[in-house]
Amino acid sequence: MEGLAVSADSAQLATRQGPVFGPLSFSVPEGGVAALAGSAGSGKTSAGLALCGRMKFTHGTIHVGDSQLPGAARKVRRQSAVTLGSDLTPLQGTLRIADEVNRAFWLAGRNHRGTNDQVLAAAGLSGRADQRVRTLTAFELQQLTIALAFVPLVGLVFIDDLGSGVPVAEHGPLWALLARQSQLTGATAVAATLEAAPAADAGATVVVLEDANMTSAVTS
Amino acid sequence: MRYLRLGGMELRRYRRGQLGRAALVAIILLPLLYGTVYLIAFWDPYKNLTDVPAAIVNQDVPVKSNGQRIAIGQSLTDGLVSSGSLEWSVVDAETARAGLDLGEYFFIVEIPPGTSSSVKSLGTDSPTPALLKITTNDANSYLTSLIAQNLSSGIQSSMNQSIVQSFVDTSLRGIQKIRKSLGKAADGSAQLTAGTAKANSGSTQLASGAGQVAAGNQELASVADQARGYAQDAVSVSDRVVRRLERRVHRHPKDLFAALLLDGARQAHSVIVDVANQVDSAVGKIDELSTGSAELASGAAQLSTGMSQLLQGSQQLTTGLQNGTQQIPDWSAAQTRDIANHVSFPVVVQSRQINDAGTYGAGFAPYFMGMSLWVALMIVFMLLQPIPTRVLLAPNIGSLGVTTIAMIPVVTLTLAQVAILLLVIHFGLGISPAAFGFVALFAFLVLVAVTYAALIQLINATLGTAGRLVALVVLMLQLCSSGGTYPVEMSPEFFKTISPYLPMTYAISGLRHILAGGARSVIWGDVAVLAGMAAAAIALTTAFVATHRRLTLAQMKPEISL
Repeated sequence: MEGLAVSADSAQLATRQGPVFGPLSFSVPEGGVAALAGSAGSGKTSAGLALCGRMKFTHGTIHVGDSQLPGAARKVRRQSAVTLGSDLTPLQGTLRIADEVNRAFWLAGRNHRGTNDQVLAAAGLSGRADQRVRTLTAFELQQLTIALAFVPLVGLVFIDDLGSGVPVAEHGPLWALLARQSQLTGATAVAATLEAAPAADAGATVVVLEDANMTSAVTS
Repeated sequence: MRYLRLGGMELRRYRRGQLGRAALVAIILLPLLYGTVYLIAFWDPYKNLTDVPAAIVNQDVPVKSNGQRIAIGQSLTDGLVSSGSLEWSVVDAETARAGLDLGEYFFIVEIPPGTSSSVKSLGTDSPTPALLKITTNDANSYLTSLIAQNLSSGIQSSMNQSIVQSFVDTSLRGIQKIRKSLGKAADGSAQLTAGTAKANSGSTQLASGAGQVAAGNQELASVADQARGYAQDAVSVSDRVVRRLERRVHRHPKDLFAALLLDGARQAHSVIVDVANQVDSAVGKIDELSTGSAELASGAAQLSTGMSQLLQGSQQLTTGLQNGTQQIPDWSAAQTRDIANHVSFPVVVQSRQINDAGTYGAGFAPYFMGMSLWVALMIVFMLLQPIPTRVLLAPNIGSLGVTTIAMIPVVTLTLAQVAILLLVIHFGLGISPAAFGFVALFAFLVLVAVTYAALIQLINATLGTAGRLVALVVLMLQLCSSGGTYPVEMSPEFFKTISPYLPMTYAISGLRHILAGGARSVIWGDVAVLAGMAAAAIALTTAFVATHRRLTLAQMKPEISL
């Protein structure tokens, strides 16, 4: 799978009550990893969705591969996958882990005989297929979420709320996992997170979103 | 197929955890609850009419008519109480009024004092109607007021019928009596005619006999007249002879012969005169006789004429009486009663119910089923998302797939709901699809549920939270316009207009026909419309999904605080 390069040029979603995010200007190379970092309410989820053609924005442009948003949203949608946070589309605690893996494959339209194990292995959850999702720790849940995010074979993956419920000291391995999956699948990975530092440490392109309309792009 | 599995996963969240399972069971049982509890309560409300209390106030004063006692008030009261149609109490006016106000009685039947005299006045020159008063109190219950109206028209027609019946019966009997009398008169007149005929023929004979006698006497009289004439001639001749002889004797006193002749002639003359006198008197008598008998004859002739006129007249009278009698039909007492019955109740309505629904409850089952499925599906969509977000945002699922996946858990629940509804309705309430069988009923109900689901999905997907309210409004509109209770033709124009555009109209129509055994073509028509509506709704939802494969700010939660 070919990853898609993403670049935002003064992309902004403005409402009558004020901007939700932006103006954002940054770029991520194909197969690269980026972090949209900001506190709650900074619009990072909306920005991530906008990158994937799943949120309208009002100013500027975003290029994904050779498509330009906001125009080519439909094409971009087919080329990207989003994994939203636990408040919007949570994994079901009552289901078995294997069920959620299956669901990810079904949603992705992929045949997956025997690949469940691979996914579980990638998530560090080998042998736990029959356990309930609710038995996972917050960290393990994040691992699973990241692993499942890459099941759809697309060029761009957005994960919301990376490291949710996990102390910042343990974010490092999660970014490492993210980078690994990105490399494995070739997809460009963008993750929204509360903590910018671990992302930067992992070598991701960090886009900091601030609550009150000011943004700056920090690359390292 | 993966869509089935994805759809099924939406339900699985309910399989674990007590709350989840309880919710699932509640959803499945929901249409049952609504449908059958309602049906049980209203299965046959008229059966319990006997428990509805009502009051009778009888103020009627009985009257006498032709030696008979007329007490209409009492008979009506007795009739109502013994019929047991309602829980009747016979009380006075104040108690009744007070009871009506307090709701102890649902209505009052008042029989005013002049009822019997009004009925008595029917046969007279100035009849007056009998007035019954029925008083209701809508504060108690509007429906019992409707029942009271029904009751009042029932009382009115049955009282009218019985009064007319007795009136006609009496009149017909009177006519029968007239007929008998007329018959007797005809008989008598016939006898008179017969007698008159005899008299007439007798008088004719008399007249002819008297005529003959008169004629004979007249001949006699004329003969006697002639005789008298001869006698007088003889007298005058003898007189002349005597005078001649007297002259001769006078002239020839010595003529002894002449003197002898004269003597003889004088003797002869006196004899002749005697005879002539006798003849005279005889003739006089004969004349009298003749006159008398002529008078007799003419009198007898007049009598005869008169008699034949009398006979004619008598014959006419007899004929007339007999005709008259025949024109009055001859009825027995049983027949007059029968006729009175029919005259007083000339129109009998034979109502035939094709596809008899059975009781009130069975007739309303389609309505309740159609309604309860909508309610059930409204609630299903409060628990399940009309369009699950994860599926909506997935890159490799087409918009139609999204809609379908969303419908799968709904349809699954629906199948369970319909199955249970049918089981309880059949085994619990005895409702059964007359001609088409359970498979048809099941399939139709599933179609109805799928159509409702598609529409409610569309409403909720496009309108969001407001969609729940809209689905409720649509329910209310359908309650009034689907023809479940009264035919929609009886509703205001607005409901008549919207009725063809709402699915419940067709659901109820189809259910009715399947349950009561109606026309196949109607059922297929309903199927077609429902399927069309479902298809249209799914198409619209899919179109909406296609243009909304993204999130809006409104769907983001506290992530965005503006």
